[in-house]
Amino acid sequence: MAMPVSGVPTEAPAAQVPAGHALARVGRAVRSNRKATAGTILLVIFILIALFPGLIAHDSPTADAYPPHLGPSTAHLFGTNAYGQDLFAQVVWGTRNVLIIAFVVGLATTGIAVLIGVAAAYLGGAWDGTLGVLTDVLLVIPLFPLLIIIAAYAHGEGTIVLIMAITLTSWSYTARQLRSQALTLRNRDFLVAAKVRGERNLYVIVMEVIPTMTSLIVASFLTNALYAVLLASSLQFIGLGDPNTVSWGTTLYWAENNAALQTGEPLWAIAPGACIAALGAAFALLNYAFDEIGNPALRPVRRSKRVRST
Amino acid sequence: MSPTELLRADHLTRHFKIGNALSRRTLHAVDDVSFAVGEREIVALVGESGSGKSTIARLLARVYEPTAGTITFEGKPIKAIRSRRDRLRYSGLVPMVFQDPFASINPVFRVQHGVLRSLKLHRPELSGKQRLDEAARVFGVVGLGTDMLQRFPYELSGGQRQRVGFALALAMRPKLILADEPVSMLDVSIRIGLLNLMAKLRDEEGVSILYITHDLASARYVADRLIVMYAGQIAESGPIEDVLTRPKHPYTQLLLSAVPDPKAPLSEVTDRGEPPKVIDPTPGCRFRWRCPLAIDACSSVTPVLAELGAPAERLAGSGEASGVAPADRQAHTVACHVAQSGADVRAFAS
Amino acid sequence: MSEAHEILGVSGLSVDYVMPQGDIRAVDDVSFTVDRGEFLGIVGESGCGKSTLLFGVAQLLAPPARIAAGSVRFKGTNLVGLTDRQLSAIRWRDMSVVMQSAMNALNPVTSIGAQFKDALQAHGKPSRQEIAARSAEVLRMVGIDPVHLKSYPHQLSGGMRQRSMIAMAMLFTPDLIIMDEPTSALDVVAQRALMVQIKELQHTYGFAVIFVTHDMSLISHFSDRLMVMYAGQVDELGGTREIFDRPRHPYTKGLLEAFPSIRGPRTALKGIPGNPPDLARLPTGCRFHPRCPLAVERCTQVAPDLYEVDAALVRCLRLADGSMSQPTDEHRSLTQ
Repeated sequence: MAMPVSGVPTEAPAAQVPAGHALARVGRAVRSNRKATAGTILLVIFILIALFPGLIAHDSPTADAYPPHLGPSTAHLFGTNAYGQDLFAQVVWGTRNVLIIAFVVGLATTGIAVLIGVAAAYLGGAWDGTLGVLTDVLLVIPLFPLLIIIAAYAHGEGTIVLIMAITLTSWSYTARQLRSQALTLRNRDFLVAAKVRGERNLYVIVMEVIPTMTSLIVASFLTNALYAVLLASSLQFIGLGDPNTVSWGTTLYWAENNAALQTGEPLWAIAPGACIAALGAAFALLNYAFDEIGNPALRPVRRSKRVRST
Repeated sequence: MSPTELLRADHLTRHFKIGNALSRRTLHAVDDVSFAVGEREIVALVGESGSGKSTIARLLARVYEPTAGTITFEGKPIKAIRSRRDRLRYSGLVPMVFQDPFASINPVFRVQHGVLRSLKLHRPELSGKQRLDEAARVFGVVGLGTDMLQRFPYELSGGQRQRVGFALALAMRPKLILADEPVSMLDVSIRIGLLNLMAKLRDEEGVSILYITHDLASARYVADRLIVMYAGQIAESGPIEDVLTRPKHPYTQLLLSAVPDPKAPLSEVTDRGEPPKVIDPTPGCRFRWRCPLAIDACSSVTPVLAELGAPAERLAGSGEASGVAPADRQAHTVACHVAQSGADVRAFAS
Repeated sequence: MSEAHEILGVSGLSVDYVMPQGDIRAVDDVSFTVDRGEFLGIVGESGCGKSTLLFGVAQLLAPPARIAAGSVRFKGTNLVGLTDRQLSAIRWRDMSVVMQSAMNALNPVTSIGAQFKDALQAHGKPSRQEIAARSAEVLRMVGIDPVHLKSYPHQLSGGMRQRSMIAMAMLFTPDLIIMDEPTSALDVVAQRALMVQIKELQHTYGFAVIFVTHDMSLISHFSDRLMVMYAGQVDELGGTREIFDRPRHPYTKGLLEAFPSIRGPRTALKGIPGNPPDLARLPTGCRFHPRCPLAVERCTQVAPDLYEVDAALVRCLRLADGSMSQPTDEHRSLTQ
């Protein structure tokens, strides 16, 4: 009968989410929460676009095959840019690059942060000290300038470098967060119970501590993915990505180079910009939704549908 | 060592360093405690918070190492238990049940997870199917249906979760269960079920239990012997009815008088219930500030746990400084100068 | 219990938890009164709704909980439906609350004195001397040296924390103090000291107390009247001594018998078999019937009202002489 929720006594009826396979429960939670549904739909749309770009946009994004400066029409949904490339195809094909960056950086950053943060908290002592120093050094270095320097040195090497640079500079914040949460868990009875029944440290960290931190880990993943999108697009926009990759950021770069907004081709800048915003919103909505799913006190109270009682 | 003795603690001491580098002070959580637990008995370890009772449980469970003193299990000192296999064996024979039913089970796994893990670690000879059968068996012994195995902790009530804790301990075929306030966080009406379970484990499964609590009434209901702790030391010890009907230590009398009893008129208790923090203590009885009967000796000489009427010289300064005479766990002993002097001590009316 | 002496009148109060699968009624049609200076004890197991009821009375419910029906008449005004601003005039001046665990209710990063100051400043503009004087005064009332105004909650013992919670509740000498299990985190001697303290303060300052607990024996010597709750409903309501000497509802009897005694013979106790019902899946008829040793066929079909049996109100069909008695006049006058 737990779920202590601020302001509401702990007698709140438990067992609202019926037990079942974890995936089924998540599915139920997503369907019942409006933010989760919206975010999921948006994200799924983008994923589908990234997986099957050829089905959606029939033109090649890089071929300078068309007359330039065309406005939007049924042949070219977003028109063409100054080089005669179909903008719709560029945006559609660019989705793949952005999503790859988002997911890989999100996973890598969170993975590293989990390992380092939780190990530091659980092992304590000298381990915590050393790992802490490592984390803090990276934490205090200004993120974006460091990224610019790294990307400038690796100018033109492409997406992999971008991913690595962003991951390297982003994991420390999450590591600190996860360490804090792991610290609060360290002396919980169920962890002492695990040690007392004879489990080894590694087992306790991986199988007992980390599973109870899933909501923070998921939130970290979503946040890191979101920031990856923004950071990568920003770097590409200022020209530090590989300008020949097809991506929203590079499209923006070319749009800026050709002063698209001033020369009457606003879609060149607006289309990729709007996509970045939409994908960012998808991740943000999912983040809110997971908060609400995990903590019922945050859920909006709607008109009651029916009263259950005798 | 008496033939049925299971575990004994001799001069067990545990100190904690507190404060920062500038002011190093020592917290005396447990000081010179000696007692024994035999087979098939429930010993209640009673005291307020800060009395050291939980620290003793953790010392016996090897969560902490003692600062001084020894713990002997089945005749062998547990300090000698070093290899992983031996450690595992000890933790299976002397498992712990925790106080907080909401924090002692990992919330993300089904409740069978802990039991199955215990079985995997401690009884590796069992196959997967045998483990499931054994899990079902111990759940049955503690009064939980086998359908409970698949449930998640949030679906169970506090009382049911505590039963899971006992099932976990039982699965390892223990000799002595360290129960650290297993019912304190449960409703009073639910406690009886758990207390009956503990008695059943003693009678039918042959398990001994060290029952740590601050509730004298529940201790009386289920325990055979009683050890009263105050400020890290044992104040009084003996067979439970003996100690409760003829309490000799003023602190025991205070506890008795404060227990709510709807059938009796309200007793006069003016003590505020402020247990001491035992930091860098001076010699002398630690209860003297709250004791209405304190005499001069209480401020300078630390009382020694001894049987009533035993001459003080036999014990003070001799090789067995304090502690129950090895063979006789059933002796009623008390650590109080006034009680030892033979006066009929009535510090707190009950 | 005349109108003139009544300070709190709760009528037909129901509290729901709004859930996606349907609302769950945690408090079902509860009515009772509290007179000036009276000590009312509310007892029940976890999940019976007693804490939710308390929060409902104090208008402290947060989503997903909400008041579904009923009124809470405090000194003549119905609190249900008042705005926060209207409520804040009453809060702490006339009615204050002491929570279950001081560590949850006290701000751990500010001193006790600073928290008293916050409370005092929320209701007026006292000068610094007035704040200091009143803070020291209430601490002395509960037996704490005023030097502890500078202390942080973690520096005080459990008993002292609870007493400073009570001191804070006394800042404006309210007419009613609501207490939600304030002693459950304390040891037995500290519990006793706290109960005695509360009673003394009550005698001196004349405020009423509603005290929620799961431990009946604790308040047996302190409460004037007792209300036993089960599964969101009131099962028995009457004078404390009366209920202890002659418990009528089978649940009350079961509760009283579940306490091991410190004196008297050592007998095996059974407690009450089974568990309280899931509020989302209540049994038909009487909610207690699955666990009741006296249940008959009719108990599974008819949900009992509160019937007047001698001097108490009891929710049991069989006690109403085997026939469907009408609810009492007194009960009817409490409901709207």
